Amino acid sequence: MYFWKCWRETRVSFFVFLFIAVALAALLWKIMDFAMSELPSKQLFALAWVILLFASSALLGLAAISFGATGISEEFAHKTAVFLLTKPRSIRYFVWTAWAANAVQFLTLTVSMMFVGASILSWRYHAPITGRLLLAFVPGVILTFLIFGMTYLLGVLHKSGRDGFLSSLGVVILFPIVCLALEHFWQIHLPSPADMYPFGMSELMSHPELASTLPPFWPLVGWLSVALACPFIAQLVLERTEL
Amino acid sequence: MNELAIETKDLAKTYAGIRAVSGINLTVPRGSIYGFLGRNGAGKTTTIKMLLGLVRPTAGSACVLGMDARGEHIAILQRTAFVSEKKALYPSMTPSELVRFSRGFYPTWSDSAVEKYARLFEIPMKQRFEKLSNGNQTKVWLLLALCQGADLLILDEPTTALDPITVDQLMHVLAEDAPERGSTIFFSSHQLEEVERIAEYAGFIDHGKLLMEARLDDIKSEFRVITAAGSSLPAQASSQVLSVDVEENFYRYVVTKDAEGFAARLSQNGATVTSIAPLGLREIFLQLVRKEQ
Repeated sequence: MYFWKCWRETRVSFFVFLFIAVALAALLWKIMDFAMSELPSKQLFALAWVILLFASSALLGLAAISFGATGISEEFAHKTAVFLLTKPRSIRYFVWTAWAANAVQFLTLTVSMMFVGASILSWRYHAPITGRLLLAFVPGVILTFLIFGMTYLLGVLHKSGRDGFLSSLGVVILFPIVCLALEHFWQIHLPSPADMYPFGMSELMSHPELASTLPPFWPLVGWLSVALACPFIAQLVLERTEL
Repeated sequence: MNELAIETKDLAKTYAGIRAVSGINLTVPRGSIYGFLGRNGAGKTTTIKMLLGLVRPTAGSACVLGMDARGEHIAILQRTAFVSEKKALYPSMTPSELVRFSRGFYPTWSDSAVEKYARLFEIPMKQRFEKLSNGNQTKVWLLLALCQGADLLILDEPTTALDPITVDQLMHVLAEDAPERGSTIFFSSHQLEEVERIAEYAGFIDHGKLLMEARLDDIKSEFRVITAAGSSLPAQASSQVLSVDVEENFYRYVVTKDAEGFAARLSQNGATVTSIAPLGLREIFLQLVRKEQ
C-alpha cells in the first residue's frame, strides 16, 4: 500500500534516471573511441571503467537527492500526514517503507548502469569483468545511500521535501569545500565519504589500472552505518512529533 | 467489555504554556451518536488528536474502545475511522486510487460500501483529488471513513464545504447506517442544527473546558426560557438563572433546573408568567458559553 504509493510518486523520476543511466553506460565506449582512439584497447577500457565509476556516482547522487526529498517528509508539506498517520501502522513502518521503496529504485539504477556499462565495455574492449572491478562500485553505492539518507532525514527535520532537497544540496556542495579548506589551511582531516575511495579522481584518471584496487573496509562500514542511521534518526524524530 | 467507546479522565494538553484542553472528562457510550460542540479553537480537534494518539496529553488519560490511547493507538486505529478537519489527501490520486491505497490497511473494508456511497454522494471516482471541488474532497474523506467497517467513527467537522443536500444525505447515513452496525459516532461540529438532528449525546467544550455533557434530551429538558411581565422582578443571574434580559416591564429568563418552581416564585412576586418554553440547542450552547465567560 504505502510502498505502492511511494513508487507511484517516484516512478517518473526513476524511469528518467534509468534512461539516462543506461544511455550513458551504453554510449560510454562510443565517446571513448571518439575522444581517445589513439590509446591501446586495454588502457581505453581502464579509463572508461573509471569514468563509469564516477559518472554513476554523480548520477546516482543526483537521483539520491531527488528521491530523498520524496517520502514521508512530503506528507507534512502536503498536509497529508494526518491521513497517513491515522492508518493502523507504526511510524517505523511508514519511514522504512518509504526508504525501502527508494532504495530498491537506487539498486535497480545502480545494477542497470553497472550491468549495461560493464557488459558493453567488456564486449567492446575484450576485457574480462573481475569481482575486484565490480567492487569498485561499492563506495559509489554507499555514497548514494548516504546522500539519500541525509536528504530523507533533512526533509523530515524540515517537514518538507523541498527544504530537505535544498539543505542536502548545500551539504553536498559545501562539505567537500570545508574538508579541503581544513586540510589545506590547518591540516585537519575530517572524516569524509571520500575516505571510501582508495584513490582520488585525478590519480585514477592518470592511472586507471588502479580502479581494481579494493576499497578500504572500515570507511565503507562507517559510512554505510551513517547512511542507515539517517532513516533511523528520522523515525525517532517522527515518533516524537505531534501533528 | 467496557460499555464506553470513549472515556477520558482529566485529559489535558498545554502548548507553550497555553492550555488547549483543560482536564476534560468525556464519556461516550458504545453505539451512540455523540456531538462534540464548540467554537473554533475551543479544543475539539486537540481532544480528537489525543484520542487518536496523534498528540500526547500533558496530563490525564484517554481510553478508546477499551484501549489506552497512548499505548495501544495502532489497535485503536485499526477499529476507528477518522475524518480530519483539514481535508487534504494525495493530490495526484483519484478517489479510486485512494480507495485502493486505503483498502489494504483495514481487514473490515467493504467494497460494496464504496460503490454504495460513491453513488450516493455522486463522487467522480476517476478524477484527480486536486481537481475535485472542496465539497467533493470532503465526500472522499467521508467515503474512505464509512467503508472501513469501523467500530468507531471520529469525524472532525465532517460537513465542512458540503452543500445542504449532501449534508442531509450524510446525516441520514450517520443516523441510519452506522448505528445499524453498532458503530459509535463521535463528531465535532459548530453546526448545532446538525448535532441536534442526529445526536443522542452532546458535550459542550469552550476554552478547553467541558462545560456540559449529557443526553441531548436531558440537556434540552433542563433548560427553559421563561417570559414574564411585572415590575421589580429579580434581574440578576444566579446558579439557576443563566441570563436575564429586561425590556421595560418584560423579563426573559433562561433557567436551568426546576423552571416551574422558578416561575411559581415569580408569580408569587406579582409577575405574570406568559410562557415557559424549551430552548434550542443553539441557545443552550450560547448561554453556557456566556455564563462561562
